[in-house]
Amino acid sequence: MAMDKPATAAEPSAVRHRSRWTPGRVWALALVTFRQGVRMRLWVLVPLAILVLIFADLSSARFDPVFEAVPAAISTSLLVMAILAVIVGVFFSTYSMPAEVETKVIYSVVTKPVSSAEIVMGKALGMSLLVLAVLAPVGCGAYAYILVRAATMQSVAVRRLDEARPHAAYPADLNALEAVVRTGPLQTYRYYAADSGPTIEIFRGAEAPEKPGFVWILGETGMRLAWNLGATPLREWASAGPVRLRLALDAKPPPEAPDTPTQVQVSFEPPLGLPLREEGGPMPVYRAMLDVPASGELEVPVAAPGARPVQGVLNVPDEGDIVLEVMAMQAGRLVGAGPGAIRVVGPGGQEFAVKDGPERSAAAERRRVTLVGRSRPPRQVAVFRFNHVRESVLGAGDVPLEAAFSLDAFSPALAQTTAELVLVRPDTGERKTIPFTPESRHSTILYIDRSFWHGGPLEVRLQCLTDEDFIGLLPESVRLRLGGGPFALNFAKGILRVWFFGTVVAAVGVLMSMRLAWFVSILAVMVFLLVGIARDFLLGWAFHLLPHVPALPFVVSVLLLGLFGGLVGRLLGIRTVFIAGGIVLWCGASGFWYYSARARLHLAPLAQSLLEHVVLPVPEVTAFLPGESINVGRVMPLAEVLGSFGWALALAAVAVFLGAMALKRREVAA
Amino acid sequence: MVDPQPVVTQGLTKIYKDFWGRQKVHALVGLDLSLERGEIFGLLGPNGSGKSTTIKLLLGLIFPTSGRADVLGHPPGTPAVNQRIGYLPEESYLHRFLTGEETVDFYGRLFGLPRRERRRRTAELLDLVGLDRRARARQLREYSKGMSRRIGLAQALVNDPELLLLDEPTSGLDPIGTREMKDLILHLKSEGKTILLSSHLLADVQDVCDRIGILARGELREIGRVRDLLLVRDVFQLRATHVTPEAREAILAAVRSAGAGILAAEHPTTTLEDLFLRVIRADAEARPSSGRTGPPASSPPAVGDGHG
Repeated sequence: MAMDKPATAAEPSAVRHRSRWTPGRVWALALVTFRQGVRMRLWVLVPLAILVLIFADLSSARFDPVFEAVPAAISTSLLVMAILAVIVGVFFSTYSMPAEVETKVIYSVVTKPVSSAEIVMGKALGMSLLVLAVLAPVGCGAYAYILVRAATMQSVAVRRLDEARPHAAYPADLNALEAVVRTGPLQTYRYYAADSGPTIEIFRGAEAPEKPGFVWILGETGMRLAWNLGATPLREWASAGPVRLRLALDAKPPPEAPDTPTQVQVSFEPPLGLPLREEGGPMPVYRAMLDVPASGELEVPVAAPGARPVQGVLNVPDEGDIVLEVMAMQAGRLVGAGPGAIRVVGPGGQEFAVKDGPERSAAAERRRVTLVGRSRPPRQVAVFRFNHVRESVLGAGDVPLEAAFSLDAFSPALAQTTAELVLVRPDTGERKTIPFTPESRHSTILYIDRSFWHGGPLEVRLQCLTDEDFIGLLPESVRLRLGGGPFALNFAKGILRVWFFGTVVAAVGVLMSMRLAWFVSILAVMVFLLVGIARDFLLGWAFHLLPHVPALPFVVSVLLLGLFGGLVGRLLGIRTVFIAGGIVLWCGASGFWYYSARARLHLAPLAQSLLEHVVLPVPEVTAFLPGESINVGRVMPLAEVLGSFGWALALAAVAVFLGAMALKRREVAA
Repeated sequence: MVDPQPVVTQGLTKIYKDFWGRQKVHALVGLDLSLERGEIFGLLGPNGSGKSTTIKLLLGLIFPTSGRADVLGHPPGTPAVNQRIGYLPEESYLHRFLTGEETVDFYGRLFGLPRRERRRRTAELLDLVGLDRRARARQLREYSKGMSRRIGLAQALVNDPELLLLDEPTSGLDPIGTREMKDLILHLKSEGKTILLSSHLLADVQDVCDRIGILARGELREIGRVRDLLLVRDVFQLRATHVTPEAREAILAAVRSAGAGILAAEHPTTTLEDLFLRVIRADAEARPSSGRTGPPASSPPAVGDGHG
């Protein structure tokens, strides 16, 4: 029989516990942990939590009793359950191990054939079961409360519908009330995203008639006209002498300021990755602000890439495509161009005509779109197209169909933003206009009569009608909302996700408590939670301030990494000097990588990804919470729940692994 | 292959350090020790002499500063070792929220005993340590100190260990419990188990140990068989019964005439422990239903403190 090496002073920890585990022992340790929680009477938290959620919900009287009260009750329930999971997870998980060390109960456990991994795994599993045991009855209580609440709401909706019918100013309200009366306020919904959109179109008004091949842009909206001049002799001619570009633009001032000249920015956009200037050389001129003359023909002087920079004379980029862009700089200005709008005039007077018309710049068609408000034409219109919604999907019955809007409206004047929604049936040409008032970061539900549409293609056109207000849009901002699945199942899925969240918190608590005192462990887990929740905010803040304080994201990274590196290193019993050295090296390498990547612009997304996932390896704990998703009744797909489970399992596994390492290196009797 | 010695230490040293890494306490210095199979070895010493430190090192609860230790041929603290040892801590450090039965069952699970075996073993051990049905269903937080020692002993024996490490095994026990514990230790020895116990109660150690080691300030000052160490070689003691006064005078005269000095010639006294046990047993026999009667005639003996 081969004998193990004896424990010596040089390597006691490496041989103390083998990293093996058996489910039976883990289960035994988990059951003891669970019993500890039960016999500490943690169940008293159950009625307390139910009372708190009822009190919190009833005391928030500002919600509309029909449309908002039930989602608010669901939201409050989940919030209370999440807080309960955190309380149980943080306080009990960090208490168990220090208490066992303090009372020396740990002596009786580690002197049995149990590995460190089994002890940590057993504790984490027991805590997880305890969180579930507390959440499950609270969830049942919350569900019963929500049912009672929903029954009350339905009777209120019936009464309100009877009162509203004779003098309803806003038909959508009637539809909504009818929907609540018929189906009840307790619904879960499936959402169908648009097949395409948002695409921006411009409602030009009478001043700008339709011209074949013409593309219009609107001032102060970020929209641009773009031509690729890579195939022209522009670069070749510019190296021989001064060149001029002649642009034929159609500029329409708004009706309220008919006589003021239209200002445009004309620019060459150098391709990404191109150095903005030669090493040590002057900055070339790529942009010029020009007024469109009454004739509409704009002349732009152009010079060779290396020519001395002169204000108002554009330098041609010295390699890659040459993309010329035109942007209108005043609100309400309509600028358009058609085929043949550009001619290149060489040094000797020779001309080259560009036959193709302009394209809308990709910048204006990017995923996130901002609708700029304007009460008079010309206006921006965001178009969402639903091409594949079959009647069978919509279901039978005469319940109105629903369209959901998750808009982000912003009013610089702090006024109520007004918007107009036009539903268009492209197959029949029928239109239906619905005015509504979006609120910032607020979801709005509008109802569509089945008599108007019950399947087939549909366009949803959205305009912001309040001058100088903005509405932010994403492809999923406008969706069709249809009933689906029982609420109870969805709610149970939500509770499951809260449980996963509690499990991660408990596992982190167990990890921290392997070497730290109770109070310090609690603080460490709270920091973990706060940083996890504030991670996006911190990054956003850092990137926002980047132009002014270039090192800020890096500083944030170093601080967070230092915090967690130091904490985990301390847990694993690594000497402080090695931890500090490791962090400095890591941050130095990451910083170098990040800034060199930023310098080469084409690597910027990679650098950002590196910063978010490697330099800032703090998991986003809020991702485990159902959050808004269940509050508005969205059906939570099973894949989403399984995804949360996978993440929770992975994070808990990392915490258990680190915890086992920490315990292995610990002298529990010292 | 010859089985390795149950415990071997070579130059085992433990120095506790403070927060800044400076050496604070030399708890154990260069301990060389080896235990033979089937013996009872007692570690003696005043408080702070290094007894508990030695046991903690042998259990892997702390790591040595220098030197080495082998327990059953393996490094201390490994599951392979822990599978074959039993440990009774100085206080019974057990989960106070578990009942007696749950406690033994829990430790049985940690040893991987199947359910049926656990049930049988739990009942057997609770009988052995003298915990009745009512006591078994109570949480440990309600136990007296003696009951805690008994349940502690039960968990230490749950795996039928080859080697037992007992830290102050009679601490907190009344004279009956102490006697029962000592009888049990002897019974375990008769089953071939090796026992290392630490104590500062010298009479207890003397009663049960084959060999002892005396620690002082972390160093082993004396080691050997109890009888050899305690033997007073220049004094002879004769004990006899039915000695008449005449016979007594004749013996004394013979001793004097042989040129030996007489240090004492008197009736011996019994020990207070023997007197106490005799009184309590007599009382129990007079009133059989009123309480425990001390250790049963047949082994293994039950252990108790009189509160159970």
